[in-house]
Amino acid sequence: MLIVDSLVKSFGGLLAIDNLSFQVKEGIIHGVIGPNGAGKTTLINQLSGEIKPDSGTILFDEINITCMNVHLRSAIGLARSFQITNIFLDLTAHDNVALAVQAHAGHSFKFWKDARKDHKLRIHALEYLKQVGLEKRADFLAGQLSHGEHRQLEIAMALATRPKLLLLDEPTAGMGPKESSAMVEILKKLKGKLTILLIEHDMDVVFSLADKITVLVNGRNIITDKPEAIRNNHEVKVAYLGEENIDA
Amino acid sequence: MLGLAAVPLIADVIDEPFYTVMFSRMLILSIGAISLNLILGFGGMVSFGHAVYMGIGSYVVGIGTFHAIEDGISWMGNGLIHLTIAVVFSALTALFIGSISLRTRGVYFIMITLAFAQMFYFIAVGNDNYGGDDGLSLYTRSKFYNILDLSNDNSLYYLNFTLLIVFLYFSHRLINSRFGILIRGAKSNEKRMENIGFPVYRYRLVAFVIAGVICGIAGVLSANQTDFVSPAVMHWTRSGDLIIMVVLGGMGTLFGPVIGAVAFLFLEEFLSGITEFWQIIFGPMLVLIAIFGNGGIDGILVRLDKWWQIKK
Ligand SMILES: Nc1ncnc2c1ncn2[C@@H]1O[C@H](COP(=O)(O)OP(=O)(O)O)[C@@H](O)[C@H]1O
Ligand SMILES: [Mg+2]
Repeated sequence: MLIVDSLVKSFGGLLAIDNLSFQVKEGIIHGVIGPNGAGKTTLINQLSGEIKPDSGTILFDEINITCMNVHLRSAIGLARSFQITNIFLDLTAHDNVALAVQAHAGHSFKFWKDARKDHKLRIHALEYLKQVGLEKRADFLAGQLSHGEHRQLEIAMALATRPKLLLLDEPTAGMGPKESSAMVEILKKLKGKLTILLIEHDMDVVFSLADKITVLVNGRNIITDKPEAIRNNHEVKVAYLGEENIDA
Repeated sequence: MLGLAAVPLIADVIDEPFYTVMFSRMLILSIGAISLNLILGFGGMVSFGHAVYMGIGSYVVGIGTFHAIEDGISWMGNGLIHLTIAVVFSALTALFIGSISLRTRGVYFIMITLAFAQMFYFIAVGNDNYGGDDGLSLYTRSKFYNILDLSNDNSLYYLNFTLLIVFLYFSHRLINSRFGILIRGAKSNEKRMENIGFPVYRYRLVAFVIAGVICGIAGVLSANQTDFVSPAVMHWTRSGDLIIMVVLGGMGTLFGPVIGAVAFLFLEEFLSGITEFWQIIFGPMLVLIAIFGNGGIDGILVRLDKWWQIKK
């Protein structure tokens, strides 16, 4: 479903993505792990179109999306969440999701009817809020919600665009253990309904969710395999723990 | 608002027709400011060339009535035709300017809209057939058959008033519609809007055109009001005045532009009565409102209202 081939991206002299290739199969949760600065966010930014790669190609459903506009990618079924929460703080949670629903409910050259009383948008938006457990917070301003709820709202907005492939950039970043396991539950429920590329720093989260894992170090794919294989892989241990800390 | 409806009556009673003319000007500039507020206040597009459309509307009336009188082509004096042509030309101009300038952001956007506006200004200056730099006096106002006689200042006032109400209601509907919500969302976070799938550019362009058209209609009214058109109506300082009205009244509020336009003209009238260097007082006042009046005069009124209710 997603094929990344020989992707390269550098910032000035820094090679953030170094000839990266991997594939994501339909219907699975594909984890991407790697230490800070490995290039995980840079990878997602290229998949969602925020930044353009220097070279290489990205195929999504056999369409070459390497240079496609951000909004067109959304139209063909790509959605993402942001590592740093990126929502409309001065709107309610419900409004935030309704906006995402609106983006995929035909054109918006509708100048007269009150969008906030548009039942089609509102009802669907509420469904997505339910999916992430935020329905009770629907009428709160997003700015009043907790950090964990912001992350949930991000997911609801992404789901509201009805994606085939969901790109999640560290959905549990900055969360306590309780919020984090709530997020894992939300993602578990999504499993099988759509394909997810899950970028995570937290190993426990990835291992409890992913069907396959790619390990990214210095912008390179050092291994892509099943979770069990990754767990016992020497190179991964080196990347995460440092050579000298590994017991023989 | 209702007070405004009574202005011509009061002016007649106290025999000061000057007030009708002055308030008429306020209504027209309010319409102009409302149109700018749609893109500036709600859409975050700081167009520094909005007076161009005022100029287009004005010149349509000026040129039309010129030929109607000079060459006896009576349809060219018809007000409905003036409005139609003003709408079409404003739309096309906004489409042209917007399609280029909306590809840029921030200071570049401001500079490009300003540059286009100056271009139109110099076209008007160079056009000697229609008065060039000196402008063109209207020998007659737009004709609306026998229904509406604009040569009567009171009739013109009520036309302005009606259109102001119409555009206020229209912008109220617009800003809460799907389109309006989208434009406002793009102001606060354009990237995110793209990301959830909105092709922001084309919607912004349509907003830009709508604003241009409304301001073009204000231009038609304005030429009738002053019986005179000249390149000065689209000078960049006129665009600046419109921005000041919007900011003064309260950006992104429904009534802000009306409050701003009224306040602007009152201050101009009042301060220029005190000293011919009235702008020396006006400038610092604007700065103070910009710094302390978060949300312009409208914002100050809202806060006063809250404070009042807490006291009670
Ligand atoms: N816009 C940018 N400009 C310059 N350097 C960047 C930019 N974005 C990321 N980087 C650098 O690229 C590397 C990878 O960053 P990032 O993709 O954010 O890593 P991760 O998400 O895996 O922690 C880092 O060294 C980071 O400093
Ligand atoms: Mg990151």
